[in-house]
Amino acid sequence: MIGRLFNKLANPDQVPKIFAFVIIVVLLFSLTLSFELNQNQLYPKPAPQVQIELAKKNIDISYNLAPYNRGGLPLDPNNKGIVKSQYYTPYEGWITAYLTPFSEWLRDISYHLGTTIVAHPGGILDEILYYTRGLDTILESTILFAAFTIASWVILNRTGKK
Amino acid sequence: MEERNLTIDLDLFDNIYRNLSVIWCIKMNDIVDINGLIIGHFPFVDIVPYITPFSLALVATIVTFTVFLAISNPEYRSITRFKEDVVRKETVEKKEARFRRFMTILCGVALIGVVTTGDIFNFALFVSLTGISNIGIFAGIKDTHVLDAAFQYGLVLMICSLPLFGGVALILANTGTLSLGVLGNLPSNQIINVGRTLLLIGAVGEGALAPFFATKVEMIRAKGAPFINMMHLSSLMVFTRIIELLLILG
Amino acid sequence: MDPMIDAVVPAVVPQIFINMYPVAIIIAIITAVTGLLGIILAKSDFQKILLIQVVTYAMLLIVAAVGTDLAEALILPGLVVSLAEILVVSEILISREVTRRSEKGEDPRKLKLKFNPIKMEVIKTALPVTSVVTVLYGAILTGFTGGAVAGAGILIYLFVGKLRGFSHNFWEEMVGISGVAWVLWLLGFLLYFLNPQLWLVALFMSGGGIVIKVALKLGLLGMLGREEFNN
Repeated sequence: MIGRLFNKLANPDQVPKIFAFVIIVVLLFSLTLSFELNQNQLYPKPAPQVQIELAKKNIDISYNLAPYNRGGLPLDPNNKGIVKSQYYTPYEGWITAYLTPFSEWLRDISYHLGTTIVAHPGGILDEILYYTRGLDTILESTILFAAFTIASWVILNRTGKK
Repeated sequence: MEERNLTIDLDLFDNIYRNLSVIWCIKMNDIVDINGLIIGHFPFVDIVPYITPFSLALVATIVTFTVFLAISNPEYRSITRFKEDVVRKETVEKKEARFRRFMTILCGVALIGVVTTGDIFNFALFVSLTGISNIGIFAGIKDTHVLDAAFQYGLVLMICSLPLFGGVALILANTGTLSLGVLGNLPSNQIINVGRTLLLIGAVGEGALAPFFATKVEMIRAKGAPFINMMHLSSLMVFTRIIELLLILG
Repeated sequence: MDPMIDAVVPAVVPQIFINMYPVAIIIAIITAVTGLLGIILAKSDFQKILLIQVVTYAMLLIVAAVGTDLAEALILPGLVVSLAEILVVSEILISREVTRRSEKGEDPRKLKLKFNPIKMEVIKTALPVTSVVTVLYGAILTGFTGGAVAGAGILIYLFVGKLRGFSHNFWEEMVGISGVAWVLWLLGFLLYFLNPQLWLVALFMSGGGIVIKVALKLGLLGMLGREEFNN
């Protein structure tokens, strides 16, 4: 009996299934717990639709970036955007308002710029991705780079036409 | 402009989390208890890798091992067949050896990240990189058994991205932070324990260990011995680090 | 608190996210269990790769449920990791099948899936100079967008008419250059962290690195399209 069980485990086919089963068990047990979100999060977002309502009232042109308006002027140390990061750094909030000229023009004529990423460097997501959590982005692209290297090597040397 | 008024109240956000020196020099209770004093840290803004005497020993091991593998040549395997009077020598082709050497070095770099990182999301990414470069070492082998085992290992990698990143996100939602320096001071609760369990499963899968991991046995039958040993080192280091991490989170 | 600041960056997470969080987590767990059960029950290996996407969606749901800017930024690495893994694993599956068939003595090339690209008149008749213009424009744009535009230029070059001047080895070397470009991008990042005063140099290093990298990746795809199927 035990021998048969071990023989089954020795088959590589079974390994992903065992992992899947263990994860299912853990997740189903965790369903009985009460999940709740901690109020004090880093980088909080305003409630949905708040900024777009303000943009429609034409209070300030920066609200046209809704829902990604975080205040501040681009690359201006005296008017930094508001970024609630983990550790303080003097250079945070510099690019939360940075736009390319084309995006600036789009922002001036429409309040739906936040829903698109057309030629849009800067903004809060780039601030997080490229500055406060820059190491994550480096790693992410390293992983993609490794995957592309493996895939292209296998295609060029094994499965592709020579 | 309206924005000028908005920047006045920045002090509101200057809570205890924001002062780097306080966190990383004095208030490292759990990390200091487990690993000893912090020798140095590299502040990449939110992500702060740190070095303790313990992780310094691990880094030294990884560097030595990776350098030895990087300068070594692939093995020559002698093959004798029944009823044949010759001993044939087999080895991997030069191009493949070069590719595997590159993947080995990448895996070593990823492991250094795994043992020094000070942020749990970053840890998850480093472990994923370890897993992918481990697969890369085996990707070029022309053997159906090895490729099948590597494929099953790849499936495990993909499944395990759920517990790894899901566990990190559960901890983030419950505590509001990802930094180990802050998490080390927080008390544990049930949700964090679920997150820890998921992290353990994820790291076990991605780091190719697991006591019943039959695929690993299949995979190390491949030829080109020295580079394959990187897999064992990565299992060992990922496992050491995940235990340390679970103790810090708890 | 000033309602104006509350609309830009609130001090605490708004109530609506807190109310939605348990619902989102329960949905994510149901999704994950569905996908994982599929993996346990699935028979074919190809089917398993497809079903794992459901598991990945569950992972993205758990991350997205936090509902902050940070969570939004964390989704991208999570997505990229799963994409990279699916790329590698499917390549290994193809390699395994090819090896298995050549071991059996069959010609693996004959058993390859038929690929019938859409016959578009515009691809055959477009001016090759379009690709030059696109590559130049991409180089001016820099960054990820620029890389995509320049890569589209290389694709046009590969699709229009015959391949001229560049051999198989040339493209293989290009893959290596892509790695060098990636290192350039990384160095730009490091410079930005170590000395933020030099942000302009760092920006140009990163932008230039990524434009080469992304463009060459697209070029590689186009080359594979020609090499394997268009004969």
